[in-house]
Amino acid sequence: MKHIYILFLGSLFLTLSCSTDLDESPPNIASSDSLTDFEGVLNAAYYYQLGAVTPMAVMGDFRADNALMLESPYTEFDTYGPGLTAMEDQYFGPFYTALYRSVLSANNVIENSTNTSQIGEAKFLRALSYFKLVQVFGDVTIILTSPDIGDIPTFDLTRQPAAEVYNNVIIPDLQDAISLLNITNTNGRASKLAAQSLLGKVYVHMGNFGSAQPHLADAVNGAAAGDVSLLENYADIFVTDLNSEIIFATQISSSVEDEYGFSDFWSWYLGNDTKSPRPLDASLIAAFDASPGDLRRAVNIDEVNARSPKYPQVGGPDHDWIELRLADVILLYAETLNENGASPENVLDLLDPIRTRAGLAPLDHTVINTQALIRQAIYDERRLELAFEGQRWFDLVRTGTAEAEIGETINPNYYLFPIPISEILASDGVITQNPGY
Amino acid sequence: MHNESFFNIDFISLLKPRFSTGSLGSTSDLGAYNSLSLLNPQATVLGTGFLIPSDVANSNLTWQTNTETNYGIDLGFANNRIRMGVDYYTSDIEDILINQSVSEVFGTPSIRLNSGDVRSSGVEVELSAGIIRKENLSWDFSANISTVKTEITDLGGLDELPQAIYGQSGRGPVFRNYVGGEIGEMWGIETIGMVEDSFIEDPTRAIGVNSSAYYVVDQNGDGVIDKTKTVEEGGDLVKIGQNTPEFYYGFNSTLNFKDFDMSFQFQGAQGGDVWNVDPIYYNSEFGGRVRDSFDANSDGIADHNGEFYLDSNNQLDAQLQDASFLALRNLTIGYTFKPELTNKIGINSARVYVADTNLLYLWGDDYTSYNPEGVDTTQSDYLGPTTYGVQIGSSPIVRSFTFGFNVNF
Repeated sequence: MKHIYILFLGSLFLTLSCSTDLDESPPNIASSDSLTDFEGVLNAAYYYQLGAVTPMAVMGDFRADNALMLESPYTEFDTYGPGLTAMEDQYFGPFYTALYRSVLSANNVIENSTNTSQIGEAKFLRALSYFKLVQVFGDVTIILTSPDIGDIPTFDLTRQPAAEVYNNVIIPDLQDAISLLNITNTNGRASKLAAQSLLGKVYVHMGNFGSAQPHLADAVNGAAAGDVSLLENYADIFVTDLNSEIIFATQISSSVEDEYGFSDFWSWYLGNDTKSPRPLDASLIAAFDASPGDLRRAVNIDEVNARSPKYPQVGGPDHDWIELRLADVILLYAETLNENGASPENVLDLLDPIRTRAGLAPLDHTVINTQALIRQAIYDERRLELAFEGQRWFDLVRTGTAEAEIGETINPNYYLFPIPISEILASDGVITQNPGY
Repeated sequence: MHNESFFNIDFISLLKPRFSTGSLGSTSDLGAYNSLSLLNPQATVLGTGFLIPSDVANSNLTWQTNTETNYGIDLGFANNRIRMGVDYYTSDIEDILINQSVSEVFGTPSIRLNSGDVRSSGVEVELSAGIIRKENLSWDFSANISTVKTEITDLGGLDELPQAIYGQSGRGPVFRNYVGGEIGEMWGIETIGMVEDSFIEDPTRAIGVNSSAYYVVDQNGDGVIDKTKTVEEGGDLVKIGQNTPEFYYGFNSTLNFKDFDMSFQFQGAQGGDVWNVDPIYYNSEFGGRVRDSFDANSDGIADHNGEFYLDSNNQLDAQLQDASFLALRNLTIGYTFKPELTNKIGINSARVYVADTNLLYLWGDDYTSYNPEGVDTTQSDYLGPTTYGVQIGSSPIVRSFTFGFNVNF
């Protein structure tokens, strides 16, 4: 009996040895270098855009003359001085982080995926991210790879001139996206039409109307082929997600939690945040006063409560953030034609469907008959059509009309927003602050 | 040593030199998968998304090694009624695991590295005495004091880790960790007083509001307050403090008188600082409270006295407070019933007592919150000891009273 025990114990020692190394990756969690399908990484590149939505809304409308902040230090958005750095944690920091994460996810798809439409969508999202970064910060760091830890110490974080970001990243990425994507979108994914529209918009922001014209023409003329058309009723655009006027939107769902931990864009516009319970700027009321009978007035402004009811949140708080819609593209196209010397008639005719929808008479090209008058008419139309869509400030800056429209002397340093100070510290000063902050 | 034949000093009853050294590897707070980069699944509107791994893959992560060396001597006097121990220790941590902050361009706020060596050293002195040993009265007393000093001796080739602001919404000091310095030094802008309340634009806006701005020092006189560089580098940051105290101390006492017993324990720390965020919030110090005429041309200089000023939501030494404290951690008073009394009802022994914690708690004159020991480590950008020393609304010290009755059958 004793011998049997000894044999049994001995056999335990023999059978307990390992045949393989103990260094194993957990089998149930995906590791970044074992992926074969990059769909999930591409979805992440879309998802990260969520973190840029509310900052974009606040910078686009509250920094401009559409909305006001009431409680310090949020009021720094309306004062054009160095104190805006106090808003870093809620706006510029999350905005910066989210967009670079979108860029890195897109880089991973572009580097590793073999699926052309995935690559096309990733290029669109990378261009969109850099376009937002450049509009907000000016010069920014360019990263076009997904780095390894070994690459971090030697990576050049120096901010590259905005012109280089446009010419070397945004424009080539959008050109690639145009050739790789289909004209129609599925489930709100990026399409060829979105890439054409964005490329046109990018050129307009660069002041390069010559290059903008063919892309905007493609977008306006090709919209029908991409199942995109103006909605009959202006208010409906902001009720139903992915309606026919939407070219591209960052999709928001209340069942998907994002990484941005502060008030959502629509709650700022609605005055739901205590920092600005009555955000409506009197300047926008005056602008609507100058457009009598405008059906867009009641959609955009609620004078009694001094707020914007534009996003009514029917069925829960999950309205998408519209990045590109047809009316925006048509207005950009009209502006481009005007700058390129097209006849008043040809330019103003483009505005007719937008004005008719708003309950207004078409503009008379025998009265508004100079380039300068048409330019102003288009700027005014943009303001009313695209109020509370995060566009106004960036339009004011690109057209050089910020001081005149807002009616204040603004140091041009404050056309840009401050780089998060944590970036300057973490890069040991290689990433520099914008002048004036 | 006192037993050796050559030792013949009568009043020293114990003499024992000690020396010890040892190395211990530890993985600190490293998770099981920290050396792998794992994709992070997340539901998105378009289906499952794989988010960027929260830690970038580092296959070289390894244990940090802590080598402790201790030199000590124990002394006893008067038949060991009085004992004293003195120790000098050094602790060298090699390959220390550090969260190093990196640019968000890389998709993560910090990476885990074995990136340096840290040396701590200090002296510990302990004294205990049996002061009274009588039949009805005995009193024992002991006291200790220890110092600790840490120095970063190497950062894997770097002179300094990337600086980081840790606090609430950017309200916090700049933490610096550099070779030759201590871990988690707090740096900031030197202030020379608060902007007077008479410059507040609208003092009726909220109760307890102050001007929320401080006059600050332009250290290098270049006309710019630079919050991102030290004076050495051409900016205006100076060292304002660190959380590690200069010394810790404590004393304990046990007293027995007839059937009564009493014991207490004091604990204290002296010389540490906390950067306290609380006053900014309860005084509604959000900046922009002063009148436009205070600085009519918005150049950052007060017009009436020519001093630079900054809002209190910056990295100012005005928020730095003394974290020193002395606490009566424990006080117990008890009475044991006489056995001849309790035995009659079949009880072996019975004791009633009251005990309390933190009955007495003293803190520094300039400390304004409720717990100088409370340091926040909960924010998502907390990097460990390299960013330790900020207080954000920490829970007050708990004072408790216990009444007890012990019975043994």
